[in-house]
Order: sequence, then C-alpha cells, then structure tokens
Amino acid sequence: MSAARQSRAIFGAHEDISGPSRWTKLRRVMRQQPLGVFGAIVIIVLILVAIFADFVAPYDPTDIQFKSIQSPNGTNFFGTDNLGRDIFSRVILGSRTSLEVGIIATVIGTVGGALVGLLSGYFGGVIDMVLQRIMDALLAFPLIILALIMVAVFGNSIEKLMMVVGIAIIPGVGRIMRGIVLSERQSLYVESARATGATWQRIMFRHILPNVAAPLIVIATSLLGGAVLVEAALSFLGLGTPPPTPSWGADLSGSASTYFRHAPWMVIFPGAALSLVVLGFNLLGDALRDVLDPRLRNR
Amino acid sequence: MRTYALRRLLLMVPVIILVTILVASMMRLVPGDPAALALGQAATEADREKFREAYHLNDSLPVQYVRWWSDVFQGDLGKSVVHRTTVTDELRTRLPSTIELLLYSLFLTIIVGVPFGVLSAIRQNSPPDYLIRFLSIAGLSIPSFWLGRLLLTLPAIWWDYLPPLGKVGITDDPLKNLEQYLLPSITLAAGASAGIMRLTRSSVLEIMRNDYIRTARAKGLNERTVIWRHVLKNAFIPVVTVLGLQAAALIGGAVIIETIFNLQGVGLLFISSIFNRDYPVIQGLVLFLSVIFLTINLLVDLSYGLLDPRIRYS
Repeated sequence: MSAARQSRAIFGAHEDISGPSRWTKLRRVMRQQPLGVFGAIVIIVLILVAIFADFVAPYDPTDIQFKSIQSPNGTNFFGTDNLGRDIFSRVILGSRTSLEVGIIATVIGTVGGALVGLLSGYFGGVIDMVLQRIMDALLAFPLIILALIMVAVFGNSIEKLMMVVGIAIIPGVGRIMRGIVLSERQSLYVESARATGATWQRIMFRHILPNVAAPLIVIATSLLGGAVLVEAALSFLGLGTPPPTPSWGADLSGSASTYFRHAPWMVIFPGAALSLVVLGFNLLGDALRDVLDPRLRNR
Repeated sequence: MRTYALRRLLLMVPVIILVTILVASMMRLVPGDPAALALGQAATEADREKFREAYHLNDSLPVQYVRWWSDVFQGDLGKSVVHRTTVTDELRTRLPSTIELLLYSLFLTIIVGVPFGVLSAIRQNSPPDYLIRFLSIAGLSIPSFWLGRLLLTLPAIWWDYLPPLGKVGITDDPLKNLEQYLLPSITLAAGASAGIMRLTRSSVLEIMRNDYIRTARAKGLNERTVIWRHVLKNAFIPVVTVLGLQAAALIGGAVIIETIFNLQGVGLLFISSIFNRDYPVIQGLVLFLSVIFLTINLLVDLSYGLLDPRIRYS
C-alpha cells in the first residue's frame, strides 16, 4: 500500500471517490498493525484506570493501615510497603501521576516546539537565528540533565514537573518542525495564499499547520513514552513528584531500595506498570508513524 | 570540510556562553541561602557573612560571572561550598569511573545492537526477527532505573550475590573492577543497544532494497559477499553516527545508573550538588558536561563526511 493511500485511509480525504467505508479502512490498518492495536488497547485501558482510579483502587494509597512488608496476598494483591500502605492501590493511583505528567508535558512540548518550528522556518532571518541559538543552548545537554537543572531551579510540584518536562521536549520538536516548515514554505499553496494577500498568521496556522499535522502527531505520540520516563526518572532521583503522592518512579527509590531483599514486590510492581505504559506508547507511536508518515521512519 | 569544522567550533562559543549565563542566573533564583546550607544551624550571622565574603557571594551577578570565567581559563571550575573541594579535583577523581562505565556500556551496545540488528534484517519476518524486534521494543520501554534495581535485587535473593561495594580501582584488581561495572554497564547499555538494533535493522533493510544489491545478486555473487561487501558497508553509515549520539545520551543515563549502583562518578556528584544547592559545582559541571556533549555531537556531524564521500559540507 502506498504512503499516499495510507494517509488517505486515515484522514478520509478524497471522500468523493467512492471506496471502502471508513470502518473497512480502519479495520485494514488495524490488521496491518497488530502491535499498534495492542499498544492502543494498553493505553486506553490505563487511561480508564487512571480516570476511575478512586473506584479501582481498593484502599487509600497514602493510608498506613496494614502490617508493613506483607507479600502479595488476597487482601493486598501486590503486598504492602515498609510503611504498611497497599501497593496495589499505590500502583493504580500512580497511573494518574504518570499519565497526567506525561501527556500534559508532551502537549506543552509539542505546542511549544511547533510554534518555534513555524516561526523559525517561516520567517528565517533574525527570528530563526535567535530561536535556534536558544534551542542550541537547551540541546547542549542530555534531556534528563536539562530537566534536572530546571527542577533544581523551579522546584518540584506536579505542575512544575509538567512544565519542566515539557520545556525539555521543545527543542527536539522545534528542530524537526523547522526542517519540515522550511520545505513546506516553498510549496505552491503557500505561494498562492500569499498572492491572495493572506496575513502571515493565516498562512502559518490555516495553511501550513494543517499540512504538517501528520508528522506533528507522529512526533508527539513518539514522545509520550519518553515524557513518562523522564517524570519517573526525576521522581526516582527524589527530584520529581513530591511524597506522599503515589508515583511509580518515586516508589522505586528510597525505601524500596532499602527493603528490596525482603520485599522485592515493592520494586517489581511499580516498575512493571511503568514499563507497560511506556511499551504501550512506544508501540502506538511506531504504528502511527508507519501509517501516517513513513518519511519519519529513521528519526 | 576544514572550514565547516572551524565554523561549527566557533558556533559552539555563543551556545556555551548562553548556557552558562542561563545557568548562572537561574541558580541565583533558587530559594535557599548557600551560606546557611553549608554552615548549618549552629552558625552565627557573622560566620555566614564571612563565608559569603570568602566565596564572593555578595558581589553582583555580572561580577561573579566574569570572575568565574577568568577562573575557568586558569583551570579552576569553581569550589564546592559544601565539601571544601574544587570541581577540578572532584572531576579528576570521579571522571575515570564515569568514563569506564560509558566505555563498557558503549562496547556492550555495539556488540549486542549491531549483530542482532543485522541478523533481524537479513532474516526479515522469521522467528528470530520477531524475537529481536520484541526484545528491542521492550529494551526501549523498560526504564533503566527499574532494570538496574532488578539486576541488584534478583541475584541477591536467588544466589545471595551482591556486586563488590566500595571503589575498586582498575589497577588494584582488574577482575573485581570489571565485576563492579558489569551490572551498571548492562543496565545502561540495554536501552542504547535496543535503539541501535532497531536502527541497524531498518538501515540494512533499506540498503537491501537498492538496485545495486539486485545487480550484485544477479551477477552471481554468493549471499555472504553481497551482505558483507555491499550491504553492510553502506548500512553502517547511519549506525555509526547514531552510535555517537547514543554515546552522548549515555552521559544522561549515567547520572541515574551511578545513583542506583552508588558508583562515585560525575553523575552522582551532579545529583548530590543539586540536592545540596552547591551552585559552584552545578555551574562547573554544566559547563564541563555541555562542552563534552557538544563536542561529541560535532564529531558525529563531521563523521558523516568521512564515512560517506557523497556528503559534502558547505
């Protein structure tokens, strides 16, 4: 199946040409991407769990109400931690922290990066020069180190974490978007829009943006897993989600490391949940990339 | 090529200046008085004032910044306000450990990532291919700190095994040293080798679709020659460059790995100075890390031209 037909299958463009219905097309895509479907199911289930966490979790995740260090049993499916909290409930509520921070940070990073890419690629010149030097400065570190520096400065509430991880994502998105916008700017539709006297805002957001939406969605999806991981890593290092809020990363550090020989379940379950989310996002991102934008395959 | 390299080197200068100004001014925004943190509760205001005087903390920000650079050019990256050591000394004792960790990890990344990636591509859609693809997507999804924790936990429970504690120098006891770095390197390399596997696979597959590969087969070359001489040589160009980028990304991973395995390297120093609000150390390390990171990235970009004569720089 050609790339053009694939993107048509997704976007439902050219609907005047009578072809297979949307459902048939969707089913065909799903058959070709079984792993992507698996990833999507994992993510949908986890989002539902996160939304209804209060009903799914049998106990209050911060309540110290059980005997400490109990191995998994009928009452505490995943056992209890050193303080006597129910690990199953903590893992369930932890999904909320992870997904919230991961998704919102990705949105911040994608919107910011798209804006930088659009401005930089469309205007060029001084604006491009200044924006790109700032991006260079942010790209002068590995992502996690950039996030650590910002956490050291801004502190670590949940809201600040979303912002920090989001900002850390911006330069990568901005760089890719700039390249795409640069080539879009040369195309005929932009030239004709300009000839009709459209303002730059209109050209940028009404003409160019819809045309770069596919790669943007692909980039955003592929970043979700990474954003979740950065939040977890910061929390693991003790610089992320502040206690007692359940966070998978934080639950893997601290007491989990002290008690690991007697209570391996304190380590196993939060980490497994974290891996599952990231796996789901990665599979979904891969599938979306293959379907929507094969150009990005090697990025 | 030479002018391109020179221009890129010059471009690093404004970036590094911008980075250090950003970090220097951000660090001053942090709440908490370093003098109070360093001296503790018992100190009097006079003690704290003396401390601020000694570390020039009372000067204005631009003055502090300029003084810092003049120190840097004399090989002094700053003094810790917590440990009474200099950043340069700390780097001298800690850098070997971090470099050792990075080299072992890079080595593991290459010997695992590349061969399995090639195997996966030349046996496309066979059971080994599916297995390798599954492992690589799992490797990208499992967080390094969880893997590291499991690699510490499970052997301890099953076989009562713990890696050697305390620092074992490579000259003191090479085998024990290797043992100490084995688990951390595996942990750090897991994600990187998964990435290299995927890239090698897609790169080899892409080359194999080319017409000249069909030509090579058509003129009767055996499969081994086709793969070794024609496919791999070209497929490795993107792999080598991404390996360089991975090496740079491993620096970030090292921060986490050193924390888990308590390796006294640069990453652990970075984390502890963030906890202690040890501004001078953070600032010195940021300069050091960004120069290393940018240099690796520059070398990666330049390597494109060396590996692939079709690429010309302008």
